[in-house]
Amino acid sequence: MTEHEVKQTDGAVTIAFDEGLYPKDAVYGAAYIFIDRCYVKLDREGDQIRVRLKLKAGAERELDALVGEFENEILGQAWRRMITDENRTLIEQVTTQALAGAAGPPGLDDLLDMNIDDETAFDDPLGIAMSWEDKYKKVQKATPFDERTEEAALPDAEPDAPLQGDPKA
Amino acid sequence: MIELRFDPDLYSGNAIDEAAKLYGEFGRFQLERQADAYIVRVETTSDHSEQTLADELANYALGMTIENRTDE
Repeated sequence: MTEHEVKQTDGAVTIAFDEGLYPKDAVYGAAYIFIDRCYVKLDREGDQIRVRLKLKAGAERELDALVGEFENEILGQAWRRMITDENRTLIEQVTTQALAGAAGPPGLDDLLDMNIDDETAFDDPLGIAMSWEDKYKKVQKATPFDERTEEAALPDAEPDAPLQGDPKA
Repeated sequence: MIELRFDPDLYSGNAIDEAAKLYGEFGRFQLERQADAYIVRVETTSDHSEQTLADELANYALGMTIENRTDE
């Protein structure tokens, strides 16, 4: 049993959809999928859009099955549209970030176009003047435990002073 | 002769024009713009029936309307 008004006449079926529940874009989306299988004609009556489906010659489907398929399709279209509308801001943000990332760092042409004067002469937009460690934030290798303790034990020792008990002293 | 009515809110006038041009070699089409509808009168000049011609024209006009809408 369907919720929509369905009329079947002369080998065609007409389904009425409330435009408040199924926006025009959803009807278009579903209709476009079906125009290769059947003849589709749209009409409006008040707040309803009427979709007339008529099988093309040689089509191996039944009209009842077609109605069910169309209703499923239009529901899917309406649902997808609602999800898109709800996430529009997020989609725009992600797209903007992706495009900005794809643009990459400024190139040589950008540098040549720059207005270089005393104030901007030492700007470094490409990060060339930065050290490798600063640029890539290389993690310093940890000092082995033994080395740390020796240094800690002789904080004020002179480097050239002979060690106690050295046979050469 | 078959008379087709297209709601201007659902069909693009350009799409109906294009459809009439495309199927012009199979029939004669009278196009009329009324306040609440585009009217197309279909008369066949080929072996195809008027009903088939009308159905094909309406299908093509709908497809063109949707495609042009997507391009916008």
